[in-house]
Amino acid sequence: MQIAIASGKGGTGKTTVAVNLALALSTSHEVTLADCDVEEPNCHLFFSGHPDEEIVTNPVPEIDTDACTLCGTCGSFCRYGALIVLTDRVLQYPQLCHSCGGCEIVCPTGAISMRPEKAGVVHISKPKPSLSLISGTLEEGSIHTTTVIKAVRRHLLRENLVLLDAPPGSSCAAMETLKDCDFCLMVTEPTPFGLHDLTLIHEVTEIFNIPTAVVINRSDEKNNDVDMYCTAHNLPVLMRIPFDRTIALMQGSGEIISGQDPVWRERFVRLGLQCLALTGAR
Amino acid sequence: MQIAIPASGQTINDPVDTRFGRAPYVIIVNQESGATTTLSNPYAAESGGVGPRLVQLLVQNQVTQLIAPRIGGNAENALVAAGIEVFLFEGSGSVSSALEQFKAGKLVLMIGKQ
Repeated sequence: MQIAIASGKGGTGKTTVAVNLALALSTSHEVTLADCDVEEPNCHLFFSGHPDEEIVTNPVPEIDTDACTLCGTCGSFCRYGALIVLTDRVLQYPQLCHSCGGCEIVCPTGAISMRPEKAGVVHISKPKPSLSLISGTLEEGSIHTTTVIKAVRRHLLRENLVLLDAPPGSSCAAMETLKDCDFCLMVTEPTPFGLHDLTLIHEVTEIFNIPTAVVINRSDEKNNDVDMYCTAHNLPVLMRIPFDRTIALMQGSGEIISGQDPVWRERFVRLGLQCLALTGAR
Repeated sequence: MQIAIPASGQTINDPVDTRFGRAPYVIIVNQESGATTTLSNPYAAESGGVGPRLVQLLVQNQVTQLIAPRIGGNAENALVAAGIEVFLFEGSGSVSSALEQFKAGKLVLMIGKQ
């Protein structure tokens, strides 16, 4: 069972919801929390422990300068500008390479082979006996977010209850996180930006045919524009998190609300069970 | 000596384009004969890596000098490696006026040996 926590807009509270859900559900389920926001992972800030580390790599071309005739075939072939053939050498931009391997195939003299280039790291830890944390971190300067998310995903076991903290936005990285999920919990806020980006991520879930529900953060009043959107699209609003100083202080000091406050623990347990019920599981 | 100028249009009377990698055209002038060639930039609408690829195209066209307003890091690196001199053109104006300023020695050498 895989449940993505996504938002479209950044800073709406995906991680808050993911971390609280994970902790609350870990009393009754074997839970894996997967931090797929690899450009800025932050779930680990809420848990202690010494994680194991796995290096994630991408294949990029390596050129045998003795075999290379500077014919230019690879440079004309590469549509990403990762290989630039000059008159006296081949310039390489491994950070632009999409690892398609085409240059190795088209090279007429066999001068190109592929070598691993670091794209990021996956950290694996177990903050509690029933809670695993798999966290992806993109290498600084690398553009291969989806490679690192795929590496995180390889650690996820179907039999566990997996909560995926999705990256913000609705582009490749968010899609890579969402595509095999059974359910998507969309966290938003009652602002024009929150609503705008909610509609974008909602469209993505419809393309993938993933059932969804909504959490509205920093929200006390009903009948705002986000509520109207949810009503119009039959999206259940499962939780409202108020704009509350106590919650903000707790969150800001690295505490998990559902670990401190039994009322919130109960609310997050109920939120998790509602998500499971909406997927048809229990 | 061939000098290249990114341009918004196909003739030397068209403005110098404010971008290098994404300029729609590149006009190449042979400084001995004065002959001009207009290249349509095949990378103008591509998603990324356009700067280095346009440098590669300039190398294939025996370009040794470039007049340009702004250069990205990847393109700069390729221009240095290719040994192409780059002269900064910050104002707005036509390709021909940029060439006049270049010939009058008014453009600052941005990349290349002093």
